[in-house]
Amino acid sequence: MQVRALILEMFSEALEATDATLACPELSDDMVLLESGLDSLGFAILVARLEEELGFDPFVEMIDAVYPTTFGEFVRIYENRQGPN
Amino acid sequence: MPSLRLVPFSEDNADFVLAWRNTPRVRENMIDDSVISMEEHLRFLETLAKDACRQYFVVYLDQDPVATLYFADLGQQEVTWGCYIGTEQMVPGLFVVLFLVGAELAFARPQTKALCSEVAAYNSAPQALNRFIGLEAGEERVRTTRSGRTVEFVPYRLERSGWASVQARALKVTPGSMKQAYNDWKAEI
Repeated sequence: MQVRALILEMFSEALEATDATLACPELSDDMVLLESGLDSLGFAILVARLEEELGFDPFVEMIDAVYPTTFGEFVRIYENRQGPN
Repeated sequence: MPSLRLVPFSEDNADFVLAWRNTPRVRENMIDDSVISMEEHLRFLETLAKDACRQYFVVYLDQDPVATLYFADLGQQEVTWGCYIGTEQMVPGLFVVLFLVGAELAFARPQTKALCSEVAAYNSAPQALNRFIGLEAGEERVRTTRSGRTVEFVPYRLERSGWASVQARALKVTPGSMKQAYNDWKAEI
């Protein structure tokens, strides 16, 4: 499964786990994460679940961690760490 | 590897702490929801320096200030804590690790029997975290904020005896990067 597809799947799982709903019709790359409907617990769950599935947390390896503001930035951090599928 | 550092409130960090504290997002969850001036903040720092029961920290993730963490009634059996996130970036697991560090710091004192907090009933993120990690909510208390709003606050209490199991549940949703930061946090006291 491509990283983006996995992130979308896990994002939905995290929303469900926290009884939250997406605050927009669909997740677009320019969606600001803090306005997506997923709260801080939801993001913790999302990254922890992605770590289980992918075997890494990209934020561990960053020398100067750059944290994402938008969904597109979030996906790119994982895509860059994962490399081409 | 991310590192987490707690630096006491001081004049050095007054500018950005005050900017965070005065955002509507933070103020709406405080009992004192007024806009604080720099003069008032500096007076508060003077009071804080003379009060051994209270500690207020800026939390640095690597070199960046990202949040505050604060305690009242240190040295008593019931310690009260609170925090707010200042950074606009989404740092996955930051909120969970603030709780973990806060509890660890409070329970490191042998006198501490319970860690207490109050969360505005409409502040859904901490409510969700507290439910998720198994903290039991007490009976809601209606309080009047400094600006005159009537707000329901939900009290939470974590007994020392329950800390290990709550910590284990919290760690289950802590991403690896924040686990590493939690395992190696430091406070400049």
